[in-house]
Amino acid sequence: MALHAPLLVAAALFSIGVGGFVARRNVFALLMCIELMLNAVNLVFVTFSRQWLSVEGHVTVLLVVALAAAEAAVALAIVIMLFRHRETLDVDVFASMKE
Amino acid sequence: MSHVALLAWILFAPLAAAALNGLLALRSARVPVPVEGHHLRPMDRLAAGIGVAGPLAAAVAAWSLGFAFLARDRSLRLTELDLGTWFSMGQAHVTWLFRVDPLSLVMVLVVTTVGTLIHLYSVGYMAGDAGFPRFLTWLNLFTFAMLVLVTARDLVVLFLGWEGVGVCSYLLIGYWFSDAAKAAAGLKAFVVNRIGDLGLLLGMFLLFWSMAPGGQASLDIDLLSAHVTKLSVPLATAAAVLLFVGAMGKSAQVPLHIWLPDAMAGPTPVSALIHAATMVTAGVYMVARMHPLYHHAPAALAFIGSLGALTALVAATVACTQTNIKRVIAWSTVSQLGYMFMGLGAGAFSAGIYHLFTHAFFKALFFLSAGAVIHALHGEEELGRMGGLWSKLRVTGPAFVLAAAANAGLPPLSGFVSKDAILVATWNAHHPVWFAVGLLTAGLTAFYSFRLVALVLAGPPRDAHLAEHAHEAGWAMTLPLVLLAVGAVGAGVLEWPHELGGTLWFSAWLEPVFYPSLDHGIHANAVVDIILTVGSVAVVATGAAIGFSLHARDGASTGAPLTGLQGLWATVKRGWHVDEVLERVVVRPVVFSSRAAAPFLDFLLGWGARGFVQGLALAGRGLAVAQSGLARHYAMVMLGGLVALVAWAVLSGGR
Repeated sequence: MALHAPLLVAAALFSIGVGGFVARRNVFALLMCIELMLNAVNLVFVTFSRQWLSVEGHVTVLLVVALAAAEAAVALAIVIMLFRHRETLDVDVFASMKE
Repeated sequence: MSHVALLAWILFAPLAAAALNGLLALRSARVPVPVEGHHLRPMDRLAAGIGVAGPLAAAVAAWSLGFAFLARDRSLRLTELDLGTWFSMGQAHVTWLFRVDPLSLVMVLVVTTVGTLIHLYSVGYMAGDAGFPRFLTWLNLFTFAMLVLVTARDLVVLFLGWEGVGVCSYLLIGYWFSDAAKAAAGLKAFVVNRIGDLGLLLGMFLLFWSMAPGGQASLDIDLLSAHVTKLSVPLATAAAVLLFVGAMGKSAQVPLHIWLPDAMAGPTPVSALIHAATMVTAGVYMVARMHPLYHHAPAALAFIGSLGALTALVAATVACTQTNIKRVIAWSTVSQLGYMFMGLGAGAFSAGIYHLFTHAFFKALFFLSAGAVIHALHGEEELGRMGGLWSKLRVTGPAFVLAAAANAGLPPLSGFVSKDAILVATWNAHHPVWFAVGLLTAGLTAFYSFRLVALVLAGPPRDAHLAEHAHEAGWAMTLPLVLLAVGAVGAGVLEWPHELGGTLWFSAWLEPVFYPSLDHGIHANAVVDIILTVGSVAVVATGAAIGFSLHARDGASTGAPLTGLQGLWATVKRGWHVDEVLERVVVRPVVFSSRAAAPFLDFLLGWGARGFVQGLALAGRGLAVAQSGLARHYAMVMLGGLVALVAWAVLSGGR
């Protein structure tokens, strides 16, 4: 079936995203990992939307893309503020949640 | 206004006054305004207005209800206020049901009428006290609790009022709490009353438990009364005696009477309202209210009567020897309460309640006029510094004499009528011992009453300086004296004996409550009655004459009148050493065993409570390690949780 290929790609993308999110320490790398996970999910939506000939999956993907764009804008702004504050992009420095 | 609405007014006007005065008291405690002499601050004026208006509204409502009852047929003299269920647990259903019948109405009239006068009096007496609004708050709250007690139809609600008056009594005895002795007196009253209350509670439990097999597991007084004859006599006797133990605490019967003389540490209006006219009579009311139970348990009635007779005699002897004006009257109250129980014990419930009724007036008058004397002498309470005040106190003096004469039972005052009714009842119920004790007590009562009159008012002043500056109190204090004096003199009309051309109006009023068969025909034989009455009047007159003449002489002392009596006098003056005996037999063993148990309990608490706390702290520190603050770690935990959830969903096959 043609279903296998896109789903395997999506699973791979999601795993890379998760692994990177847990392993990497650079803030930009984390943001990119989040984008990877989001797009893996998007890929699944599109795949099934085509499989069942339904438009809802497409709509959801557009929504997620728009949200991801907004999220990226906010996140980048936060990253800039964090950098100005601490002069670093290493997330392990930002451990103030401990308190 | 409908009768139910009147009942609601009776109950909630004092409560509303207490709530408003409570707010004022909080405010005045936060913003202290200095007090200058015997003047009311603006806030005190407001508190006084509210504090008197509450009981006054209740009194007006109570009298309206009384006259409405009079216009009705005697079987219809009943009003109930139902405020729904309090709680419902298994077989126990307790409802907020307040009921006024002729018996409750007598109590309500006493509480509200005498209460209003005493509230008014205390405005004059307590003027200039820093805690004035607080005082009126407790007094109003007391009135409410007492009204709950006398109108409750369920024993549990009655108990609520019972405890409520106990708390207010504690708060008011210890009103001047910065004086350690006064605070301790309040505590003593509270603790001794709790011992009695334990008996009351056990009695309630026993009644509830023993009615359960018949399907009547309820503490509703009317239900209990209707089904009490189904109980076996030993069970009924046990319950009746246990309930009476509660009454012994509240109504100061031997040996639980020790708190009442000490309760005189409170302000005098408190002594008059709580420790003479109302609260201490709650035990008498409760026994009368439960009369079907007591009628079913003659042994319990005999016990009540005997203990009452003992109390009456013991307390009367002690009253003869006291040198503090308030303590004489306090011991007199204990003695009169014994008298009431003696009447109840003889089965003469209406005579007992009638003595309660007249006693409320003349004893309140006695206390309030004593308070006016104390007020005139700037707080002096010792008889050794009084005397020669008759010419100074033109209102208080006659009021004091009237109160003493009514207390002694001199005809034609109210005390004579009610005391005579009890004496005749004991004779007719074939209790010659109680009658003899009652007669002796009557003589002693006359003796100490007129000893007090002589020591306070007659003869030359023992302290010339104090007498010189004595002054009559203001209208707020003298008006209640005059009105109470009218009651103390006139209340006898309600039960004026047949032989003297009167009608037994009071016992007719109570007849729907105590069906007539219960009263052992108070006036069974007119000739016997007249002989008994003449005899008791002779004893009383002799006692009064001796008491007055011995102590009105120049240089009369407050000690033993005859030199041979000094040893006995000292023993009696200490209350026959009951306090000391109880201290040795009860208090010290309890304190000793508590001390002995303390290290053990500390050990248990150390390992129990502290161990628990330390365990929690340790667990907290362990869990805190997980809080690294690193977003990656949290993400990993979330991932783990997600994997577990998905695995569970897959493995369970989507079920």
